[in-house]
Amino acid sequence: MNSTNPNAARLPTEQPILDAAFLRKLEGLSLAARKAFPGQMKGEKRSIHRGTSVEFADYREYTLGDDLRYVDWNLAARLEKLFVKLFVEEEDLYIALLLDASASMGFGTPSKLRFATKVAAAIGYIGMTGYDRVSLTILSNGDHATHGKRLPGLPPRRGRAAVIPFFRALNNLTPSGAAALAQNLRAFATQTRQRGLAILISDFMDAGWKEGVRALLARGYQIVLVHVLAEEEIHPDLAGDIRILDSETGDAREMSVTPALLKRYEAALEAFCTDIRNFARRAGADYVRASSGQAFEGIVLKHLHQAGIVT
Amino acid sequence: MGWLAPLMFLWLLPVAALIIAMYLLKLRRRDVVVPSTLLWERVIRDVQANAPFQRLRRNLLLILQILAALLLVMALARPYVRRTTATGRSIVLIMDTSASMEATDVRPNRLAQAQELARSVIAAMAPQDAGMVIAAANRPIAVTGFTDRRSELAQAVSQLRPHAASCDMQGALSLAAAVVAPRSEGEIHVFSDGGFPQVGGVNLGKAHILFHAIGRSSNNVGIIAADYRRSLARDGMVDVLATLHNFDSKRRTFTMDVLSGSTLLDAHEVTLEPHGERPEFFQIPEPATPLLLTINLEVHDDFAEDNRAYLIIHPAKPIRALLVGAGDVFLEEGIQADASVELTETSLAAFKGPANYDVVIFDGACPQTLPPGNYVFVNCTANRAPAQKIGVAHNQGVIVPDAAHPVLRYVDLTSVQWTAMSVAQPKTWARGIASCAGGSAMVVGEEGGYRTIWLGFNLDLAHGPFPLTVGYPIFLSNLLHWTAHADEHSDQIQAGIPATIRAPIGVTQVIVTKPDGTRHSVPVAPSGIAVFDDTDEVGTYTAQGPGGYVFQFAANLADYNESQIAPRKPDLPAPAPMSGRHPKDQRSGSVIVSQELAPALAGVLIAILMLEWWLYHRRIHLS
Repeated sequence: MNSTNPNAARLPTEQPILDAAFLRKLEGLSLAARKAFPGQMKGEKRSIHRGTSVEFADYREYTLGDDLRYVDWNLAARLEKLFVKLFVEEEDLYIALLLDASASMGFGTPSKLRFATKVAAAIGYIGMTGYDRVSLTILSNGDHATHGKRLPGLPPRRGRAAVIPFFRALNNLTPSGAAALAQNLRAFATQTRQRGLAILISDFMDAGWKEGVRALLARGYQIVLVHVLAEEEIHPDLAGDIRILDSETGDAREMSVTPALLKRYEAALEAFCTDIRNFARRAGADYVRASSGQAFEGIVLKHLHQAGIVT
Repeated sequence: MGWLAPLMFLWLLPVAALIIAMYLLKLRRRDVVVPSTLLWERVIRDVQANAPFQRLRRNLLLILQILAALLLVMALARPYVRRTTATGRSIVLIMDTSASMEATDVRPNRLAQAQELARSVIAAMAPQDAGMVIAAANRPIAVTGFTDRRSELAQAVSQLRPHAASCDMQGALSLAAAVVAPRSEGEIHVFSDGGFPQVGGVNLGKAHILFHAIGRSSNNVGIIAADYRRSLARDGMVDVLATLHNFDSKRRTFTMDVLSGSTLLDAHEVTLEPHGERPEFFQIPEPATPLLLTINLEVHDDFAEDNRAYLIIHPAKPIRALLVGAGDVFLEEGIQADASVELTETSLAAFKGPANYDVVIFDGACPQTLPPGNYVFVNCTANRAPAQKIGVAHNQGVIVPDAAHPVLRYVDLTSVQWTAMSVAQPKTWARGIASCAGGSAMVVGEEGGYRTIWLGFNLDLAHGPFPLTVGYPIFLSNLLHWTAHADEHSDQIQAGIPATIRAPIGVTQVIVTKPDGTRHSVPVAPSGIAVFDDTDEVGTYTAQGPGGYVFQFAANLADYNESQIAPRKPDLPAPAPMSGRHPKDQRSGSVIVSQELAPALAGVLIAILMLEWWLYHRRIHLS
């Protein structure tokens, strides 16, 4: 089995998440954070630790036991005092993929969840093959957070060997329950000791999303918000006297849909997206808005690249 | 403002209740699952926040619908206002609907042409003009009130139908003059062929009459009279008389048929000179049962209504008379001189009542209290007597102010003198037909269908020589025939004249079948008399009642004026000179018209329904 080919991991009835041609495009890419995070293993990303790379970082006074090879003799000659050169350590980057798999993500053609899993798969593939540790956390209901359990998903993994189970886990996702972003993100932030890049892929159709994102910010994550909407949310095909039912909570609302009402809805949606974008800007996070109907490759190769996440 | 059908307001409660009940029922909505209602709730909040009158707007639909229901009920209640128009003519259209208007010398007939002319007059009316329609047959009928709605007038004119009756133009003009006199610029349009008697004595005020002559031909031969009587020359025979008249200026020869039921009795050719008249006379045996005779002229002319006449000959019925008195030989013999009278005599003490008798004669004395009946009081009074005795006159003759009364026909009372006679004052429902110094000497009255006569003089030889005169038996015969209603030919009437039906005592209603087969229920008075006035159709009528009672009578046109179809220009009254009325009597330059508001209400109703429909489709409120 070719471990670089994730299609080999799919079940007979499964659709491949990413095709081979697109995977080849991802081979040369890597993920980047705007600031350095402490890693756990040697890697290719700058760490806040001082290490043995070729990139100079700082000086410190010589102390007994230091390797004399790192003493800067030129500086010693001028100052008559010994200083040791420090170099930047290159470690791996922790990438937390936070994927909303609530019931509302099941809408759209293709579904928002399908679109989100493809984006997550692409990011995860780039991270794993770039020797970064990638974890997957599924946000589908608040039960785990409420009872203090670990959130479902995959623990941090790196390397090509981790790709197949990662893809399989993504492929097996089905939308259900409520996102409960406030509880789940707060639980994630408290349960995870590592810091790094947190990529939240969601439709944000949850009133507690701000509280959840603030919890991530408090833990020092660099955050990327990928906002996925379905076409039927952007341009609802509704008319007449109807009763709408919330797919997550089952709440019902009666209304008479008119062109004027649809215009107000579209304005409210735009305001909602703008609110998320402004929040992200103030928090130093990145915001990418996507429609499930558009090509997901563009999100990865264009929008995330423009945001500096994918380089 | 008034209401023509105010009971329609009763519909308001159930209709309003129905609308409110429908509002109370929830609208069934289609379920649609959406990813999230988060944004929709935000929209709902925005709408509610931005439009505080949304709740009112939801209720606005209910208010509009109740308002629409109210307007609908108001329209059904037919509101109207009386308004005064500043100027305009008051036009009365008198439509002759008598029999002669059925003449077909103009196609399809004269009435149709009159209707067309009338419609053209209506169409030429100015908006401020008001008009009304009067139908003139045997009695005038106001078909409409004054209105400025030309469609209503035209419809009323179009719905008129001819009647086989004469034309009471005098009454129609009087009615028109009465309604148009208080108005300014009155116009009376008469649409007729002129076939009516001379009109006079109508005060038109300032109104002008415009006569629209209808018809152009005099091509008609008709039966202008038909009757029968018991033959005086041959016992057991009935004389039948029909008068034929040629109204045309050409000589006409035709066949006259006489049928008994469907059996042809006689058919012979008749020739009438221009404007000639000829009586046709023949005899038939006295029938044992009512016999229907039909006289038919086989002639083609422009007026068919008078080419046929019907006679119903009932078997002779004797007058059953009861003489109550001491027994006066002159009186007894005088009564029995009339072969049609069956006389029974009794004493005052033995008198049981008027039952089984057509007339009761009290000679000199009578009970003070009598049940209803036909009575002759000879110098005596009772509660049923038509007069109240006020004194006695001696050696008096009588004067006869009403010699045309049937009782006095062929009798000369003025040459007779009585040694003593009572004088009386007629009761309010009676009148004197002979008088002497001090009061009435002969009073006739009719009350509750019963006839009574009071005589102030005795009919014996002791008080005067009247029994020795030639007129004595005739007077007695007249007396009994009139009192017993025997002089009435109730089985033979002129079309349009009410028919008197004498049903047995106790019958409360009879069913009258008209020639066209329609049946009408007619109430019968306690006296047994029923009056049926819907006789404007030529033919035979049959009245039926309980106990096998059947009475037939015939109605014929038999009207010279109606058969005279040659168009005539009648001499109609002229408007009074201006000085004849005080100007203040006139409401100059204004007329009062009734205008219905239902069309306007209907327009408002449609507008409200459209507004409600628009609001319904524009509403953005979410409940």
